Amino acid sequence: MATEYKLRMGDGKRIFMTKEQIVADLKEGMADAADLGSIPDLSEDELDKLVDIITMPSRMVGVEQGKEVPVTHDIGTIRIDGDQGNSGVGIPSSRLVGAMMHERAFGADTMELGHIDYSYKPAKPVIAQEMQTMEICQQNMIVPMLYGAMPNMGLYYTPDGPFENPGDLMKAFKIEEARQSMEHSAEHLTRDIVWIMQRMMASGSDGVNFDTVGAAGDGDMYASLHAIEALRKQFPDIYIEAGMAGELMLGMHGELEYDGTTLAGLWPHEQAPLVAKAGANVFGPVCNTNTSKSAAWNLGRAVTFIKAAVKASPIPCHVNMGMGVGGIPMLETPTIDAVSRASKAMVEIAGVDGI
Amino acid sequence: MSNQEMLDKLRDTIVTQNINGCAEATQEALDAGMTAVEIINDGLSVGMKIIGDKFEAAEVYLPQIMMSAKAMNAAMEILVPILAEEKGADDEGVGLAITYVQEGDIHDIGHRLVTTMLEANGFKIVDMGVDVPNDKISEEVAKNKGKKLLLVGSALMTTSMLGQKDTVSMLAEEGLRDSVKIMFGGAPVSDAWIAEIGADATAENAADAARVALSLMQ
Repeated sequence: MATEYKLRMGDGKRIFMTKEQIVADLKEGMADAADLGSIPDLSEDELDKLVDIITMPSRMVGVEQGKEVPVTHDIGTIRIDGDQGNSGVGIPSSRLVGAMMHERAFGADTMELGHIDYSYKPAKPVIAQEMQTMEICQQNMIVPMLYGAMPNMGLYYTPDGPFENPGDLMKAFKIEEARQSMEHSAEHLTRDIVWIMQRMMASGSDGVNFDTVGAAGDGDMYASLHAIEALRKQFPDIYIEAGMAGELMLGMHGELEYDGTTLAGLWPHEQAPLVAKAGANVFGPVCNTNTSKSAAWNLGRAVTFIKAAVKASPIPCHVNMGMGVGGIPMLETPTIDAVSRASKAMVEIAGVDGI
Repeated sequence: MSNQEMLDKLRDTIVTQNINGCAEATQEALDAGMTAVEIINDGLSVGMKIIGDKFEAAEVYLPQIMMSAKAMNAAMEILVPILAEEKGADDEGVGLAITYVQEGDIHDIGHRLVTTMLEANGFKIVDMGVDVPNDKISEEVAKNKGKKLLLVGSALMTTSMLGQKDTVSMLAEEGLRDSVKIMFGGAPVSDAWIAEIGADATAENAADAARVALSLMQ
Protein backbone atom coordinates (compact mmCIF):
# COMPACT_ATOMS: atom_id res chain seq x y z
CA MET A 1 0.00 0.00 0.00
CA ALA A 2 1.39 3.40 -0.96
CA THR A 3 2.27 5.88 1.77
CA GLU A 4 -0.47 8.43 2.36
CA TYR A 5 0.09 12.00 3.52
CA LYS A 6 -2.17 14.18 5.62
CA LEU A 7 -3.57 17.13 3.69
CA ARG A 8 -6.63 19.37 3.77
CA MET A 9 -9.44 20.06 1.40
CA GLY A 10 -10.09 23.73 0.54
CA ASP A 11 -12.79 23.71 3.22
CA GLY A 12 -10.34 22.45 5.83
CA LYS A 13 -11.49 18.81 5.96
CA ARG A 14 -8.68 16.34 6.73
CA ILE A 15 -7.85 14.08 3.77
CA PHE A 16 -5.16 11.53 2.94
CA MET A 17 -3.43 11.41 -0.44
CA THR A 18 -0.63 9.41 -2.01
CA LYS A 19 2.35 11.19 -3.52
CA GLU A 20 1.05 10.40 -7.00
CA GLN A 21 -2.31 11.94 -6.16
CA ILE A 22 -0.61 15.02 -4.72
CA VAL A 23 1.50 15.48 -7.87
CA ALA A 24 -1.57 15.05 -10.07
CA ASP A 25 -3.53 17.67 -8.10
CA LEU A 26 -0.59 20.08 -8.04
CA LYS A 27 -0.28 19.83 -11.81
CA GLU A 28 -4.01 20.22 -12.33
CA GLY A 29 -4.15 23.34 -10.12
CA MET A 30 -1.08 24.78 -11.84
CA ALA A 31 -2.60 24.13 -15.27
CA ASP A 32 -5.81 25.87 -14.25
CA ALA A 33 -3.88 29.03 -13.27
CA ALA A 34 -1.68 28.89 -16.37
CA ASP A 35 -4.74 28.52 -18.59
CA LEU A 36 -6.81 31.26 -16.96
CA GLY A 37 -3.99 33.78 -16.66
CA SER A 38 -2.07 32.81 -19.81
CA ILE A 39 1.00 32.52 -17.58
CA PRO A 40 3.84 29.98 -17.48
CA ASP A 41 3.65 26.64 -15.70
CA LEU A 42 5.93 25.99 -12.74
CA SER A 43 9.14 24.15 -13.55
CA GLU A 44 9.66 20.48 -12.63
CA ASP A 45 12.06 21.58 -9.87
CA GLU A 46 9.43 23.90 -8.44
CA LEU A 47 6.81 21.17 -8.54
CA ASP A 48 9.22 18.81 -6.76
CA LYS A 49 9.82 21.45 -4.11
CA LEU A 50 6.05 21.87 -3.65
CA VAL A 51 5.69 18.12 -3.17
CA ASP A 52 8.48 18.23 -0.58
CA ILE A 53 6.78 21.03 1.33
CA ILE A 54 3.38 19.33 1.29
CA THR A 55 4.75 15.96 2.39
CA MET A 56 7.03 17.21 5.17
CA PRO A 57 6.27 15.15 8.28
CA SER A 58 6.24 18.10 10.70
CA ARG A 59 2.85 19.51 11.62
CA MET A 60 4.22 23.01 11.11
CA VAL A 61 6.96 24.07 8.70
CA GLY A 62 8.97 27.26 8.21
CA VAL A 63 11.11 28.98 5.63
CA GLU A 64 14.79 28.15 5.38
CA GLN A 65 17.10 30.31 7.46
CA GLY A 66 17.96 33.50 5.61
CA LYS A 67 14.73 33.45 3.65
CA GLU A 68 12.60 35.19 6.28
CA VAL A 69 10.29 37.91 4.94
CA PRO A 70 8.46 40.84 6.55
CA VAL A 71 4.97 40.15 7.82
CA THR A 72 2.35 42.85 7.44
CA HIS A 73 -0.88 42.66 9.39
CA ASP A 74 -4.25 43.89 8.20
CA ILE A 75 -7.79 44.07 9.67
CA GLY A 76 -6.48 46.41 12.39
CA THR A 77 -6.85 44.90 15.85
CA ILE A 78 -10.17 43.22 15.14
CA ARG A 79 -8.44 39.85 15.40
CA ILE A 80 -8.05 40.57 19.12
CA ASP A 81 -11.05 42.64 20.20
CA GLY A 82 -13.63 41.63 17.61
CA ASP A 83 -16.29 39.29 18.90
CA GLN A 84 -19.17 39.61 16.47
CA GLY A 85 -18.30 36.98 13.92
CA ASN A 86 -15.69 39.28 12.41
CA SER A 87 -12.58 37.13 12.77
CA GLY A 88 -11.92 38.26 16.34
CA VAL A 89 -11.31 36.29 19.52
CA GLY A 90 -13.18 38.73 21.72
CA ILE A 91 -10.41 39.71 24.15
CA PRO A 92 -11.39 43.05 25.70
CA SER A 93 -8.60 45.47 24.86
CA SER A 94 -8.12 48.95 23.51
CA ARG A 95 -6.87 49.34 19.97
CA LEU A 96 -3.56 50.58 21.32
CA VAL A 97 -3.16 47.40 23.37
CA GLY A 98 -4.18 45.29 20.36
CA ALA A 99 -1.69 47.06 18.09
CA MET A 100 1.10 46.70 20.63
CA MET A 101 0.34 42.99 21.02
CA HIS A 102 0.84 42.57 17.27
CA GLU A 103 4.09 44.54 17.41
CA ARG A 104 5.62 43.11 20.57
CA ALA A 105 4.10 39.66 20.98
CA PHE A 106 3.20 38.48 17.48
CA GLY A 107 6.13 39.94 15.56
CA ALA A 108 4.25 42.03 13.01
CA ASP A 109 6.72 44.09 10.98
CA THR A 110 4.10 46.73 10.19
CA MET A 111 0.77 47.26 11.88
CA GLU A 112 -2.30 49.25 11.07
CA LEU A 113 -5.05 51.04 12.89
CA GLY A 114 -8.49 50.00 11.70
CA HIS A 115 -12.02 50.92 12.72
CA ILE A 116 -14.42 48.18 13.84
CA ASP A 117 -16.46 48.67 10.60
CA TYR A 118 -13.17 48.44 8.66
CA SER A 119 -14.31 50.49 5.68
CA TYR A 120 -13.28 54.04 4.81
CA LYS A 121 -16.79 55.47 4.60
CA PRO A 122 -17.89 54.71 8.19
CA ALA A 123 -14.59 56.14 9.49
CA LYS A 124 -15.65 59.62 8.37
CA PRO A 125 -18.05 60.41 11.24
CA VAL A 126 -15.53 59.18 13.82
CA ILE A 127 -12.47 60.74 12.24
CA ALA A 128 -11.56 62.70 15.39
CA GLN A 129 -11.42 59.47 17.39
CA GLU A 130 -9.37 57.79 14.66
CA MET A 131 -6.92 60.70 14.63
CA GLN A 132 -6.50 60.65 18.40
CA THR A 133 -6.00 56.88 18.48
CA MET A 134 -3.42 57.10 15.70
CA GLU A 135 -1.49 59.72 17.66
CA ILE A 136 -1.49 57.57 20.79
CA CYS A 137 -0.37 54.49 18.82
CA GLN A 138 2.43 56.43 17.17
CA GLN A 139 3.61 57.64 20.59
CA ASN A 140 3.82 54.09 21.92
CA MET A 141 4.94 51.99 18.97
CA ILE A 142 8.07 51.45 16.89
CA VAL A 143 6.99 49.52 13.78
CA PRO A 144 5.45 51.50 10.92
CA MET A 145 1.82 52.18 11.83
CA LEU A 146 -0.56 52.57 8.90
CA TYR A 147 -4.23 53.38 8.70
CA GLY A 148 -6.14 50.55 7.07
CA ALA A 149 -9.64 49.92 5.78
CA MET A 150 -11.55 48.43 2.88
CA PRO A 151 -12.51 50.76 0.01
CA ASN A 152 -15.82 48.81 -0.01
CA MET A 153 -17.64 50.73 -2.73
CA GLY A 154 -20.82 48.77 -2.05
CA LEU A 155 -21.44 51.14 0.87
CA TYR A 156 -22.15 53.91 -1.64
CA TYR A 157 -25.13 52.06 -3.16
CA THR A 158 -28.68 51.96 -1.80
CA PRO A 159 -29.71 51.04 0.87
CA ASP A 160 -26.33 51.91 2.46
CA GLY A 161 -25.46 54.95 0.36
CA PRO A 162 -26.78 57.66 -1.92
CA PHE A 163 -26.45 56.02 -5.33
CA GLU A 164 -28.97 53.63 -6.82
CA ASN A 165 -27.86 50.03 -6.53
CA PRO A 166 -26.36 48.87 -9.85
CA GLY A 167 -27.67 45.35 -9.16
CA ASP A 168 -31.24 46.68 -9.10
CA LEU A 169 -30.61 48.82 -12.17
CA MET A 170 -29.14 45.93 -14.12
CA LYS A 171 -32.08 43.76 -13.22
CA ALA A 172 -34.23 46.37 -14.92
CA PHE A 173 -31.76 46.34 -17.85
CA LYS A 174 -30.79 49.95 -17.07
CA ILE A 175 -27.16 49.17 -17.88
CA GLU A 176 -26.07 52.74 -18.64
CA GLU A 177 -27.66 54.02 -15.44
CA ALA A 178 -25.95 51.19 -13.50
CA ARG A 179 -22.60 52.21 -14.94
CA GLN A 180 -23.20 55.87 -14.09
CA SER A 181 -24.07 54.88 -10.53
CA MET A 182 -20.74 53.04 -10.26
CA GLU A 183 -18.84 55.99 -11.73
CA HIS A 184 -20.44 58.44 -9.28
CA SER A 185 -19.78 56.09 -6.38
CA ALA A 186 -16.16 55.76 -7.43
CA GLU A 187 -15.71 59.54 -7.39
CA HIS A 188 -17.08 59.73 -3.87
CA LEU A 189 -15.02 56.79 -2.68
CA THR A 190 -11.80 58.35 -3.99
CA ARG A 191 -12.69 61.65 -2.35
CA ASP A 192 -13.49 60.00 1.00
CA ILE A 193 -10.28 57.94 1.11
CA VAL A 194 -8.18 61.01 0.39
CA TRP A 195 -10.09 63.07 2.98
CA ILE A 196 -9.59 60.44 5.67
CA MET A 197 -5.91 59.95 4.90
CA GLN A 198 -5.23 63.70 4.92
CA ARG A 199 -6.36 63.66 8.54
CA MET A 200 -4.60 60.44 9.46
CA MET A 201 -1.35 61.73 7.98
CA ALA A 202 -1.80 64.92 10.04
CA SER A 203 -1.98 62.58 13.06
CA GLY A 204 1.34 60.95 12.33
CA SER A 205 0.29 57.90 10.29
CA ASP A 206 3.16 56.26 8.43
CA GLY A 207 0.92 55.29 5.55
CA VAL A 208 -2.21 53.61 4.35
CA ASN A 209 -3.41 50.09 3.65
CA PHE A 210 -6.04 49.58 0.97
CA ASP A 211 -7.47 46.25 2.05
CA THR A 212 -9.54 44.20 -0.44
CA VAL A 213 -9.28 46.51 -3.45
CA GLY A 214 -11.91 45.59 -6.04
CA ALA A 215 -14.32 43.90 -3.61
CA ALA A 216 -17.17 45.71 -5.38
CA GLY A 217 -15.72 45.10 -8.83
CA ASP A 218 -13.79 47.22 -11.30
CA GLY A 219 -15.35 50.48 -10.02
CA ASP A 220 -13.87 49.77 -6.60
CA MET A 221 -10.41 49.28 -8.13
CA TYR A 222 -10.83 52.39 -10.30
CA ALA A 223 -11.61 54.51 -7.23
CA SER A 224 -8.76 52.97 -5.24
CA LEU A 225 -6.16 53.55 -7.96
CA HIS A 226 -7.21 57.19 -8.25
CA ALA A 227 -7.03 57.57 -4.47
CA ILE A 228 -3.51 56.06 -4.46
CA GLU A 229 -2.49 58.46 -7.22
CA ALA A 230 -3.89 61.47 -5.34
CA LEU A 231 -2.27 60.45 -2.05
CA ARG A 232 1.13 59.88 -3.67
CA LYS A 233 0.90 63.37 -5.18
CA GLN A 234 -0.06 65.02 -1.88
CA PHE A 235 2.26 62.98 0.34
CA PRO A 236 5.36 61.97 -1.64
CA ASP A 237 6.76 59.91 1.28
CA ILE A 238 3.57 58.10 2.28
CA TYR A 239 3.84 54.29 2.46
CA ILE A 240 0.97 52.82 0.41
CA GLU A 241 0.03 49.18 0.54
CA ALA A 242 -2.70 47.93 -1.83
CA GLY A 243 -4.03 44.42 -1.33
CA MET A 244 -6.63 42.93 -3.61
CA ALA A 245 -10.00 41.38 -2.78
CA GLY A 246 -9.77 38.49 -5.22
CA GLU A 247 -7.68 36.99 -7.99
CA LEU A 248 -9.86 38.26 -10.86
CA MET A 249 -11.07 41.84 -11.18
CA LEU A 250 -14.80 41.44 -11.64
CA GLY A 251 -16.31 43.50 -14.43
CA MET A 252 -19.35 44.94 -12.72
CA HIS A 253 -18.96 48.00 -14.97
CA GLY A 254 -16.91 46.32 -17.65
CA GLU A 255 -15.45 49.37 -19.39
CA LEU A 256 -13.56 51.35 -16.74
CA GLU A 257 -9.91 51.94 -17.57
CA TYR A 258 -6.82 53.07 -15.71
CA ASP A 259 -3.83 54.30 -17.69
CA GLY A 260 -5.42 52.92 -20.86
CA THR A 261 -5.97 49.43 -19.43
CA THR A 262 -9.45 47.98 -18.95
CA LEU A 263 -9.70 46.93 -15.31
CA ALA A 264 -12.30 44.19 -15.73
CA GLY A 265 -10.82 40.75 -16.13
CA LEU A 266 -7.33 41.53 -14.82
CA TRP A 267 -5.43 38.71 -13.10
CA PRO A 268 -2.82 39.36 -10.35
CA HIS A 269 0.13 39.69 -12.75
CA GLU A 270 -1.85 42.27 -14.74
CA GLN A 271 -3.04 44.16 -11.65
CA ALA A 272 0.47 44.63 -10.19
CA PRO A 273 1.85 47.07 -12.81
CA LEU A 274 -1.25 49.27 -12.54
CA VAL A 275 -1.05 49.42 -8.76
CA ALA A 276 2.62 50.37 -9.06
CA LYS A 277 1.85 52.95 -11.74
CA ALA A 278 -0.73 54.58 -9.44
CA GLY A 279 1.99 55.02 -6.83
CA ALA A 280 1.72 52.20 -4.31
CA ASN A 281 4.81 50.89 -2.50
CA VAL A 282 3.57 47.36 -1.97
CA PHE A 283 1.13 45.15 -3.90
CA GLY A 284 -0.91 42.41 -2.22
CA PRO A 285 -1.83 39.77 -4.80
CA VAL A 286 -4.62 37.31 -4.07
CA CYS A 287 -5.42 33.81 -5.27
CA ASN A 288 -8.75 32.40 -4.08
CA THR A 289 -9.13 28.94 -2.59
CA ASN A 290 -11.52 26.43 -4.14
CA THR A 291 -13.20 24.70 -1.20
CA SER A 292 -14.02 21.63 -3.29
CA LYS A 293 -10.39 20.94 -4.23
CA SER A 294 -7.45 19.64 -2.22
CA ALA A 295 -4.72 21.77 -0.65
CA ALA A 296 -2.36 20.43 -3.32
CA TRP A 297 -4.62 21.64 -6.15
CA ASN A 298 -5.09 25.01 -4.47
CA LEU A 299 -1.42 25.48 -3.67
CA GLY A 300 -0.29 24.52 -7.17
CA ARG A 301 -2.72 27.06 -8.56
CA ALA A 302 -1.93 29.82 -6.04
CA VAL A 303 1.85 29.56 -6.37
CA THR A 304 1.56 29.66 -10.18
CA PHE A 305 -0.56 32.81 -10.07
CA ILE A 306 1.49 34.60 -7.41
CA LYS A 307 4.85 33.71 -8.99
CA ALA A 308 3.68 35.40 -12.20
CA ALA A 309 2.51 38.45 -10.22
CA VAL A 310 5.86 38.74 -8.43
CA LYS A 311 7.67 38.57 -11.76
CA ALA A 312 5.47 41.24 -13.34
CA SER A 313 5.42 43.59 -10.37
CA PRO A 314 7.78 46.58 -10.30
CA ILE A 315 7.11 46.91 -6.54
CA PRO A 316 7.42 44.37 -3.70
CA CYS A 317 4.61 41.82 -3.44
CA HIS A 318 3.22 40.92 -0.03
CA VAL A 319 0.88 38.04 -0.84
CA ASN A 320 -2.46 37.81 0.95
CA MET A 321 -2.37 34.72 3.14
CA GLY A 322 -5.38 33.87 5.24
CA MET A 323 -8.70 32.11 5.27
CA GLY A 324 -9.66 31.25 1.73
CA VAL A 325 -6.71 32.87 -0.04
CA GLY A 326 -3.14 31.93 -0.95
CA GLY A 327 -3.83 28.20 -1.08
CA ILE A 328 -5.07 28.24 2.54
CA PRO A 329 -8.34 26.49 3.41
CA MET A 330 -11.49 28.49 3.99
CA LEU A 331 -11.64 28.42 7.78
CA GLU A 332 -12.12 31.27 10.23
CA THR A 333 -8.95 30.17 12.00
CA PRO A 334 -7.00 28.28 9.33
CA THR A 335 -4.97 25.30 10.48
CA ILE A 336 -1.25 25.82 11.05
CA ASP A 337 -0.27 22.81 8.92
CA ALA A 338 -1.88 24.40 5.86
CA VAL A 339 -0.92 28.00 6.65
CA SER A 340 2.75 27.26 7.27
CA ARG A 341 3.08 25.07 4.16
CA ALA A 342 1.37 27.60 1.91
CA SER A 343 3.47 30.42 3.35
CA LYS A 344 6.74 28.52 2.86
CA ALA A 345 5.76 27.77 -0.74
CA MET A 346 4.93 31.40 -1.43
CA VAL A 347 8.30 32.59 -0.10
CA GLU A 348 10.55 29.86 -1.50
CA ILE A 349 8.85 29.17 -4.83
CA ALA A 350 6.67 32.16 -5.77
CA GLY A 351 9.37 34.50 -4.45
CA VAL A 352 7.13 36.92 -2.57
CA ASP A 353 8.77 39.80 -0.73
CA GLY A 354 6.46 39.58 2.27
CA ILE A 355 3.22 38.23 3.62
CA MET B 1 -30.01 37.24 -47.97
CA SER B 2 -29.62 33.47 -47.56
CA ASN B 3 -31.00 31.64 -44.53
CA GLN B 4 -27.48 31.12 -43.21
CA GLU B 5 -26.72 34.82 -43.55
CA MET B 6 -29.89 35.60 -41.63
CA LEU B 7 -28.93 33.14 -38.88
CA ASP B 8 -25.46 34.69 -38.70
CA LYS B 9 -27.04 38.11 -38.38
CA LEU B 10 -29.25 36.88 -35.53
CA ARG B 11 -26.20 35.39 -33.83
CA ASP B 12 -24.23 38.60 -34.20
CA THR B 13 -26.98 40.80 -32.76
CA ILE B 14 -26.80 38.71 -29.58
CA VAL B 15 -23.01 38.80 -29.42
CA THR B 16 -22.89 42.58 -29.99
CA GLN B 17 -25.80 43.22 -27.59
CA ASN B 18 -27.81 44.91 -30.35
CA ILE B 19 -31.28 44.85 -28.78
CA ASN B 20 -33.24 46.66 -31.51
CA GLY B 21 -31.26 44.91 -34.23
CA CYS B 22 -32.07 41.52 -32.72
CA ALA B 23 -35.83 42.17 -32.83
CA GLU B 24 -35.55 43.45 -36.41
CA ALA B 25 -33.45 40.48 -37.53
CA THR B 26 -35.96 38.12 -35.93
CA GLN B 27 -38.84 39.71 -37.82
CA GLU B 28 -36.82 39.59 -41.06
CA ALA B 29 -36.14 35.89 -40.56
CA LEU B 30 -39.82 35.17 -39.89
CA ASP B 31 -40.83 37.17 -42.97
CA ALA B 32 -38.38 35.09 -45.01
CA GLY B 33 -40.19 31.92 -43.95
CA MET B 34 -37.97 30.60 -41.19
CA THR B 35 -39.65 28.91 -38.22
CA ALA B 36 -39.40 30.22 -34.67
CA VAL B 37 -37.59 27.03 -33.63
CA GLU B 38 -34.96 27.49 -36.37
CA ILE B 39 -34.45 31.11 -35.37
CA ILE B 40 -33.94 30.19 -31.72
CA ASN B 41 -31.86 27.04 -32.12
CA ASP B 42 -29.69 27.98 -35.09
CA GLY B 43 -29.34 31.74 -34.62
CA LEU B 44 -30.10 33.21 -31.20
CA SER B 45 -28.87 30.27 -29.11
CA VAL B 46 -25.61 30.16 -31.04
CA GLY B 47 -25.08 33.80 -30.10
CA MET B 48 -25.86 33.09 -26.44
CA LYS B 49 -23.39 30.20 -26.50
CA ILE B 50 -20.67 32.54 -27.81
CA ILE B 51 -21.45 35.22 -25.21
CA GLY B 52 -21.50 32.56 -22.48
CA ASP B 53 -18.09 31.31 -23.54
CA LYS B 54 -16.75 34.87 -23.59
CA PHE B 55 -18.14 35.42 -20.09
CA GLU B 56 -16.41 32.27 -18.89
CA ALA B 57 -13.15 33.44 -20.45
CA ALA B 58 -13.54 36.87 -18.74
CA GLU B 59 -13.72 38.59 -22.12
CA VAL B 60 -17.14 40.10 -21.41
CA TYR B 61 -18.71 40.91 -18.07
CA LEU B 62 -22.01 41.17 -16.26
CA PRO B 63 -23.35 44.27 -18.05
CA GLN B 64 -22.60 42.80 -21.47
CA ILE B 65 -24.23 39.45 -20.73
CA MET B 66 -27.27 41.26 -19.36
CA MET B 67 -27.54 43.25 -22.59
CA SER B 68 -27.23 40.07 -24.65
CA ALA B 69 -30.01 38.54 -22.56
CA LYS B 70 -32.10 41.62 -23.19
CA ALA B 71 -31.53 41.28 -26.95
CA MET B 72 -32.63 37.65 -26.69
CA ASN B 73 -35.69 38.77 -24.72
CA ALA B 74 -36.59 41.25 -27.45
CA ALA B 75 -36.55 38.41 -29.96
CA MET B 76 -38.52 36.08 -27.70
CA GLU B 77 -41.29 38.67 -27.31
CA ILE B 78 -41.90 38.22 -31.03
CA LEU B 79 -41.28 34.48 -31.08
CA VAL B 80 -43.21 33.19 -28.06
CA PRO B 81 -46.71 33.75 -29.55
CA ILE B 82 -45.53 32.18 -32.82
CA LEU B 83 -44.05 29.19 -30.98
CA ALA B 84 -47.41 28.69 -29.28
CA GLU B 85 -49.11 28.75 -32.68
CA GLU B 86 -46.56 26.35 -34.17
CA LYS B 87 -46.94 23.92 -31.29
CA GLY B 88 -50.68 24.32 -30.59
CA ALA B 89 -52.50 26.26 -27.87
CA ASP B 90 -52.18 23.58 -25.18
CA ASP B 91 -48.43 23.23 -25.48
CA GLU B 92 -46.64 24.32 -22.30
CA GLY B 93 -43.54 25.48 -24.11
CA VAL B 94 -40.24 24.38 -22.65
CA GLY B 95 -41.64 24.47 -19.12
CA LEU B 96 -42.29 26.46 -15.98
CA ALA B 97 -39.21 27.46 -13.97
CA ILE B 98 -39.57 28.27 -10.27
CA THR B 99 -36.52 30.34 -9.36
CA TYR B 100 -35.41 31.48 -5.91
CA VAL B 101 -32.49 32.16 -3.56
CA GLN B 102 -32.21 29.78 -0.61
CA GLU B 103 -33.35 30.76 2.89
CA GLY B 104 -30.70 32.77 4.75
CA ASP B 105 -29.19 34.15 1.56
CA ILE B 106 -29.97 37.43 -0.18
CA HIS B 107 -27.27 37.36 -2.88
CA ASP B 108 -29.34 37.57 -6.01
CA ILE B 109 -27.25 38.73 -8.96
CA GLY B 110 -26.71 35.18 -10.19
CA HIS B 111 -30.34 34.33 -9.48
CA ARG B 112 -31.55 37.33 -11.50
CA LEU B 113 -29.23 36.54 -14.35
CA VAL B 114 -30.25 32.89 -14.55
CA THR B 115 -33.94 33.84 -14.32
CA THR B 116 -33.49 36.25 -17.21
CA MET B 117 -31.65 33.67 -19.26
CA LEU B 118 -34.33 31.03 -18.66
CA GLU B 119 -37.07 33.45 -19.61
CA ALA B 120 -35.15 34.39 -22.73
CA ASN B 121 -34.96 30.71 -23.60
CA GLY B 122 -38.71 30.21 -23.47
CA PHE B 123 -39.40 29.23 -19.85
CA LYS B 124 -42.40 30.64 -18.05
CA ILE B 125 -41.07 32.01 -14.74
CA VAL B 126 -42.23 32.07 -11.14
CA ASP B 127 -39.58 34.20 -9.40
CA MET B 128 -39.89 33.67 -5.65
CA GLY B 129 -37.10 36.14 -4.84
CA VAL B 130 -34.51 35.84 -2.07
CA ASP B 131 -34.36 34.21 1.39
CA VAL B 132 -37.08 31.69 0.50
CA PRO B 133 -37.87 28.99 3.10
CA ASN B 134 -38.24 25.39 1.98
CA ASP B 135 -41.93 25.11 2.91
CA LYS B 136 -42.76 27.95 0.50
CA ILE B 137 -40.81 26.18 -2.25
CA SER B 138 -42.67 22.96 -1.56
CA GLU B 139 -46.03 24.79 -1.68
CA GLU B 140 -45.16 26.32 -5.06
CA VAL B 141 -44.11 22.95 -6.49
CA ALA B 142 -47.32 21.35 -5.19
CA LYS B 143 -49.39 24.14 -6.74
CA ASN B 144 -47.85 23.47 -10.15
CA LYS B 145 -47.70 19.67 -9.93
CA GLY B 146 -48.44 18.06 -13.29
CA LYS B 147 -46.79 20.82 -15.35
CA LYS B 148 -43.36 20.56 -16.99
CA LEU B 149 -41.64 21.88 -13.91
CA LEU B 150 -38.08 23.01 -13.21
CA LEU B 151 -36.89 24.19 -9.79
CA VAL B 152 -33.88 26.49 -9.94
CA GLY B 153 -32.33 27.39 -6.58
CA SER B 154 -29.35 29.61 -5.92
CA ALA B 155 -27.04 29.96 -2.90
CA LEU B 156 -23.89 32.04 -2.75
CA MET B 157 -22.74 30.84 0.65
CA THR B 158 -21.80 27.37 1.86
CA THR B 159 -24.13 27.85 4.84
CA SER B 160 -27.18 28.56 2.68
CA MET B 161 -26.15 25.87 0.18
CA LEU B 162 -26.72 23.27 2.89
CA GLY B 163 -30.44 24.16 2.77
CA GLN B 164 -30.59 22.75 -0.75
CA LYS B 165 -30.25 19.26 0.69
CA ASP B 166 -33.30 19.92 2.87
CA THR B 167 -35.22 21.18 -0.17
CA VAL B 168 -34.69 17.88 -1.98
CA SER B 169 -35.54 15.87 1.16
CA MET B 170 -38.71 17.86 1.78
CA LEU B 171 -39.92 17.42 -1.79
CA ALA B 172 -39.23 13.68 -1.51
CA GLU B 173 -41.09 13.40 1.81
CA GLU B 174 -44.08 15.19 0.36
CA GLY B 175 -44.15 12.96 -2.71
CA LEU B 176 -43.24 15.80 -5.05
CA ARG B 177 -39.68 14.86 -6.04
CA ASP B 178 -40.73 13.07 -9.24
CA SER B 179 -42.87 16.03 -10.31
CA VAL B 180 -39.98 18.39 -10.78
CA LYS B 181 -36.47 18.61 -12.19
CA ILE B 182 -34.10 20.34 -9.79
CA MET B 183 -31.14 22.57 -10.64
CA PHE B 184 -29.00 24.31 -8.05
CA GLY B 185 -26.38 26.97 -8.63
CA GLY B 186 -24.10 29.38 -6.79
CA ALA B 187 -20.42 29.70 -6.04
CA PRO B 188 -20.07 26.74 -3.63
CA VAL B 189 -22.29 24.32 -5.61
CA SER B 190 -20.41 21.51 -7.35
CA ASP B 191 -21.29 18.39 -9.34
CA ALA B 192 -20.34 16.30 -6.31
CA TRP B 193 -22.80 18.26 -4.14
CA ILE B 194 -25.57 17.80 -6.71
CA ALA B 195 -24.93 14.06 -6.73
CA GLU B 196 -24.76 13.90 -2.93
CA ILE B 197 -28.14 15.56 -2.35
CA GLY B 198 -29.95 13.91 -5.24
CA ALA B 199 -30.64 17.00 -7.36
CA ASP B 200 -30.52 16.83 -11.16
CA ALA B 201 -27.97 19.35 -12.36
CA THR B 202 -25.87 22.47 -11.86
CA ALA B 203 -24.21 24.82 -14.35
CA GLU B 204 -21.06 26.90 -14.61
CA ASN B 205 -22.78 30.21 -15.39
CA ALA B 206 -26.08 31.76 -16.50
CA ALA B 207 -25.68 30.93 -20.17
CA ASP B 208 -24.73 27.36 -19.31
CA ALA B 209 -27.71 27.21 -16.93
CA ALA B 210 -30.07 27.90 -19.82
CA ARG B 211 -28.49 25.13 -21.90
CA VAL B 212 -28.60 22.65 -19.01
CA ALA B 213 -32.20 23.60 -18.20
CA LEU B 214 -33.33 23.03 -21.77
CA SER B 215 -31.65 19.63 -21.90
CA LEU B 216 -33.19 18.62 -18.55
CA MET B 217 -36.66 19.38 -19.84
CA GLN B 218 -36.31 17.32 -23.01
